[in-house]
Amino acid sequence: MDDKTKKDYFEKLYNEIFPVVIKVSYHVTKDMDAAQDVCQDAFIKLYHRVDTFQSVEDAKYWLIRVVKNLSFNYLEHEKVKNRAFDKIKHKPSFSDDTGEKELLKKDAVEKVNQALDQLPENLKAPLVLREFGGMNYKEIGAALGISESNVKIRIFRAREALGKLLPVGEVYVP
Amino acid sequence: MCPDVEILSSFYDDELEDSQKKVIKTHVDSCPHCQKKMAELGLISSAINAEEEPDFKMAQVNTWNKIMNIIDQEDQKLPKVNFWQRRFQISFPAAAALVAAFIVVLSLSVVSFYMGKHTTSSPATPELNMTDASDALLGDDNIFDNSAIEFDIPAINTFIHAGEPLLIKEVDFMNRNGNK
Repeated sequence: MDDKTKKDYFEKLYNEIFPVVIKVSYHVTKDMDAAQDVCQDAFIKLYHRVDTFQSVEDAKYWLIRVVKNLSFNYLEHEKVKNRAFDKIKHKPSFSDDTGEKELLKKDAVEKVNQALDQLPENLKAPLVLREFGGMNYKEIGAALGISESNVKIRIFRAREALGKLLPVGEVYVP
Repeated sequence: MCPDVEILSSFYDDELEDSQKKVIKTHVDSCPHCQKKMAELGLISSAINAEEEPDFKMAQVNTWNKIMNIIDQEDQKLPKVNFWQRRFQISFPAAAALVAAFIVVLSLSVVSFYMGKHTTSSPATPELNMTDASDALLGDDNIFDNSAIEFDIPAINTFIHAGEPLLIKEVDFMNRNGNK
């Protein structure tokens, strides 16, 4: 594969995969700058070995796995550093509408994020890929290197754990 | 009977097979308990998705530009190297396995070399079978005429019963008694 073909193929992969992995990384790290850095590192790794993948799917699942690992590594690193101010600094922005609705929404997001943070990586990763990556069980299994039935169980357990952490009626849903 | 919540979770994600999906849907439509469970599953998803997301489109463009800059810089920095000049990376377990294999082969080589050397260079032991040794020395069709073999027996009473002198002694003994 010559340089031109390689770059064209890489660009095609980038446009197809980036929208999925940036969401996954953002919802794991809760930090847009970190998510962009993670995706950048992952795509540079992909570029160096782009001609070793037999299909777009192989490259996609490999990249999702790399992004997932880098994102959780970042999260772990941040926890160790205990830099809570970073999280506050990069808190997601909200629209201009103010009032009770907005406050409830803010509160709900905070509670959901706190609950998600309490999930272990093996439960959080499949749920994030499902909810934010929009991937089906088969794709999640391929990306995480686990079976479909395992994905099904993990997503169910993640929801069950979230259900206990976010009791119905306590969280505002828009 | 209500289906397991695990099945409802798969049903919520539209991951059931068509036949199973139909059965579950029929049940859920008529079961308030399962409807409540489904609402809970929907609630969790809605709560997860309640958060407003940042501008991912902008991030896509920015990250692409950064990646291209880095790749271009790398291309300019790194001269093309041929296969034999490439640096290879090897994982730690593979490297450890290679080193272990090398040590085992090296140890076996040293041991076998030492044992071989010891066996060939060691002097004849007292357990040497003298008959076999003399047979080997003379052979069935030996060129030596028995009468022509002369050995000087050491003029001492104490003969060393080991090693080469023993061979000589036996040959001499057989010769004097006319035995082969």
